[in-house]
Parts: sequence; C-alpha cells; structure tokens
Amino acid sequence: MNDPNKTFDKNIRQVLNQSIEDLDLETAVKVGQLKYHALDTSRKRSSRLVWGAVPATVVALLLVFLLNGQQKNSLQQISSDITELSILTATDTLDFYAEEIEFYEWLSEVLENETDLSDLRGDLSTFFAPDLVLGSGIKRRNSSECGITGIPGDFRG
Amino acid sequence: MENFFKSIERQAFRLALFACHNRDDALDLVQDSMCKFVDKYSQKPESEWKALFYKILQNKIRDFYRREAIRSRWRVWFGKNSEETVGDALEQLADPRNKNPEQETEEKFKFSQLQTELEKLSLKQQQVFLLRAWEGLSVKETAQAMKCSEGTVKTHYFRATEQLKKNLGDQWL
Repeated sequence: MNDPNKTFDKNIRQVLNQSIEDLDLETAVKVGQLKYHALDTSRKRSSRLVWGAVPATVVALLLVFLLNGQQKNSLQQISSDITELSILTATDTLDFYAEEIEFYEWLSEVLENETDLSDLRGDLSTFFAPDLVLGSGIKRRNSSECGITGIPGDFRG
Repeated sequence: MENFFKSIERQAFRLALFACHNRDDALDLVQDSMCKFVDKYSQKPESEWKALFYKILQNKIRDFYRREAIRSRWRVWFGKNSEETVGDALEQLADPRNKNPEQETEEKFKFSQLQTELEKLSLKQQQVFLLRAWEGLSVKETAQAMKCSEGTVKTHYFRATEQLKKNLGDQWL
C-alpha cells in the first residue's frame, strides 16, 4: 500500500516539474539567458578589477621609486654638506685631513665602543703622551669642541 | 557553475514567480540572485551551492516585499488605485504544444489548482513547502535559506502540507 504522504509529495513534484517544462518559449529563453548574464557580469567585473589594479600598482611603484630616490639623494647631499662644513670650519691644517684622519677615525670608533677601555687607555697614553693619562685627572675634551665629529680632542696633537 | 544554474534556473524562476506574481519581477529576482551567487559563493563547495543559492533568492524575495510595501504606501498616499491586474499567471505561461488536449487540460487544471492553494498559504509556509517538497532541501538547509530555526521550518512545512492536503482533495493523495 502506498504511503499517502509520499504519493502527495510525488504528485506535487510532478505537477510543479511539468509547469516548468511548459514554460512559454519567450520566458524559457529569458530564464535560460539569466545565467549567461550573471556569469558575464562577474567576468567583466573581475577583469575590470584586474585591469584597474595594474595601472594603479604601476603608478604606486613609480611614486615609491621616485620618492625613495629623492630621499636618498637629499640625505647624501646633507651628509656631504655637513662634512664639507666641518672641514671648512676646522682649525686643522689640510695635511691632517689628507694623511692622519683615517687613523683618528679608527681610534675614535674604538674609544666610542669602549671595548676593554682601561687596557687601551693605558697603551695609548704611554704611546702618545706618557704624562697624559686618560680618565685619571684630565678630562677628555668633548668632540664638539674640536670641530670634527667623533675625534676626541686628546688625540689630535 | 553554468551547469548548476541550468539545473535550478527554472525551479528558481517558478519559486520566485509564486512569491511575486509577476514574470519580469521573478526574472529580476533570479538574475540578481545568480549575480550575487557568482560574486560571493562560487568558491564554496559545490555541495553547498543549492542551499546557498536559495538563501540568496529568499533574501531577494524578502527585499522585494519590503520594496513593494513601501511602494504601496506611496500609492495609498497619492490616492492611486493599488489594485492592479496581475492577470492569470497560468494564462501568461501557457504554451500551446503538441500535446493531447485532454492531458494538457488536466495538467493545466492541476497546476492551476495547486497554484491557487499555494498562493493561499503565507509566504513563509509557501516557500518552506516548495524548498522542502520540490527542491528537496533538508530541514537544516531550508532553515538557513529562510533565516529561521529548524523548528519553525518543521512547523511551517507541517501546516502547509496539512492545508494543501485538505484543500486539494483526495485525488492528490
């Protein structure tokens, strides 16, 4: 014996399925076109997004490169200006910059790092001026006083 | 995706037509649903597509009703006659084909009967019934599509079935 509920559902489905089979031609064509329109719209939108993003990315990259280059140039310009200014305003002779500056720069770095300073101070003091002991009585002059950045005044003769 | 749309497009159209009683509106609802589905859910697993598509369609139908409610308020405000001739949907959709006239008449009659009874149901009962009985969505999927609880789906489905059985008569059982 058939279950009346199942028969009822089956009849309903049958009638509804038949109704969509019997759609008039115009409606059937229109319904059939909907999916193509939806898929086309989506494709166009995504391609528009891609092609819209390409020029924007190119422009952004160009701007980054340009700004970065300008910033680098200006920084280099500033640092070279400062060096020139410090050379011009210094009281040292030009021979000092030509021959001895590298040595003093190295020395300055070593002292700045303060690595095993006590040993180094002892060695240096005996080497340069036995009567001048760094850190014991005579205060190191501030580097700004000598006009050259990073070179302690005590080692400039 | 195209095959999926092919498999559900006519049912979706009929479902929308039951809800809004106008062919062009139903076409718009289905098209909008398809566009949104492609945009939002095409990356989801295929097994979930049907439930998700009907969820979008139900949202569109709800939006349609909201718009209609606002429009009818404006019509009342301006004193226009809100009774527009909807026309017999069956007559609009009928397509004379090479069928046995008796069979065709019987089919038309049955569909007309079913349509009339479906339209007597509340929108929620109608849509729940169609999604469950025709589209074969589970209670859970129907609840997701209709944005309601599973208990509500069961209640709507039961009441709709009972009312349809009662009104359609024994010949449907």
